[in-house]
Amino acid sequence: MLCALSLFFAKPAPGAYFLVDDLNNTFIVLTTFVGWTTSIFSASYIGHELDIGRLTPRSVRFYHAMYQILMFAMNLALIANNIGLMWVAIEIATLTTVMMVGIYRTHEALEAAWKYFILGSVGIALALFGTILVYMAARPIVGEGLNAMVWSVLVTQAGNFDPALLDVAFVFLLLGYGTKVGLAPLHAWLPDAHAEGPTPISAVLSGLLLNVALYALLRFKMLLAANSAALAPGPLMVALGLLSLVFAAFMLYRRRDIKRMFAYSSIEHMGIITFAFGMGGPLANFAGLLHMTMHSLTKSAIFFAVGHIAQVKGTQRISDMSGLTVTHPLLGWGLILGVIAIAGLPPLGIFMSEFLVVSSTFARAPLLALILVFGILVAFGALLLRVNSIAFGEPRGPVGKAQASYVPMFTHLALVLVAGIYMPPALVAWFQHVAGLLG
Amino acid sequence: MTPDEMAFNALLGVLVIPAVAAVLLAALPN
Repeated sequence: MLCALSLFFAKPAPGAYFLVDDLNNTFIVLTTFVGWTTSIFSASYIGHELDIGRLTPRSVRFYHAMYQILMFAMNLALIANNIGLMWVAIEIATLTTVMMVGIYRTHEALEAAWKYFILGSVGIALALFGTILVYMAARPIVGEGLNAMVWSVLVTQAGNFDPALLDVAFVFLLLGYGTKVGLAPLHAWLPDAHAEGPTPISAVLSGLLLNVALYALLRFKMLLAANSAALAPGPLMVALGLLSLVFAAFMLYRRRDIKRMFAYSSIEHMGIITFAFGMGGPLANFAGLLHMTMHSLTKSAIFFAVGHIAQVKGTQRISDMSGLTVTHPLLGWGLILGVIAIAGLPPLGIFMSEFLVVSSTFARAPLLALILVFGILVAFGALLLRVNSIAFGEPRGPVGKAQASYVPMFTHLALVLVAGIYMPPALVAWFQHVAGLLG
Repeated sequence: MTPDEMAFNALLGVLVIPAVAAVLLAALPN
């Protein structure tokens, strides 16, 4: 975390493999911060799993090793200047999370891991093909070898690349990395992986790994934007973003499993973020960056609460966990605060970012804004309906004391609340600057 | 309805009004 923060003050010069600029610096700080708080949450969560015998000491060692590899892979993907290395890092992150999703070795966990592995592999194979096509487009201009895969070289020369090859490459990259982002209709792996794996992994998947895949997509979007003859990537991202938002919003109503429900909420929010970046321009990019940050903090806080709730109740079924504010007030109100935030109510940070997305869209494309508001409202209704039945009513299930670590959850929620009320001018200026880089 | 639930519903009511007002203002033509 301190190393990540130090990059704000001293950036190493870009090389053939690594690059630290203001864009990935933002992602790195967010990733290391949420990774750090999730590891604190992991200690109590995994300790409980060990106590009740759901995990063995051996699988706990495996879990912690995989967690560190995942953190390494995500940071590697973020600082990679080589598009091949970035692909490899995202592949490593996928494989480590596959291992962790199946760690409970139950029928459902293994099925979810296999589903994630197969769909993730299809996605990552499409992304590889897109990466190769970018290399093919760069080779006649940049020359054979490593330089034709170095992003900082590619972006300066992209104006001379064959636009037809770039167009095809972006479609493959959008479908490939879009699968990893969890965009509908490529999202099928995501709810299972979130529901069946350990909750810290659900928090990291939702809060971080989806962002890393989106970051890869943004890098290629910048490449296409540098070539005036290539297709505009924005409309494709806008279409997939809106589809994900509306689809996930309706799917939220049918969920019976609490982790699965918040997995669909992640699809919804990744849809909003992709939509914002697809619209482009300083305000929409700013809103997209802010929404991504707020979503990472809020969704991981929600999963921290959900993990402990599922542990004390011994189930993930929503119908078996009512009356939580009576039996476990801190967890219950923590979840309520998280849901109020994720549903987009003021004065929390997600309201601010959603408001910016909506208002910038109303100014440019009112019809799209109406669809956006419709999707957000549908999801809002579903989330409040479900949280009402979880938090209130006749208490059900075990009422034993929770051995929970509340600090990570309330730290995230406090940050989201503060960001909604007051954002320091320096942070606003930083986000504006990064939004400007995205075009 | 428990006191907790009443507090939650009151909170929702208070929060929804500015949210709706903000979106309506955003939707108004400049």
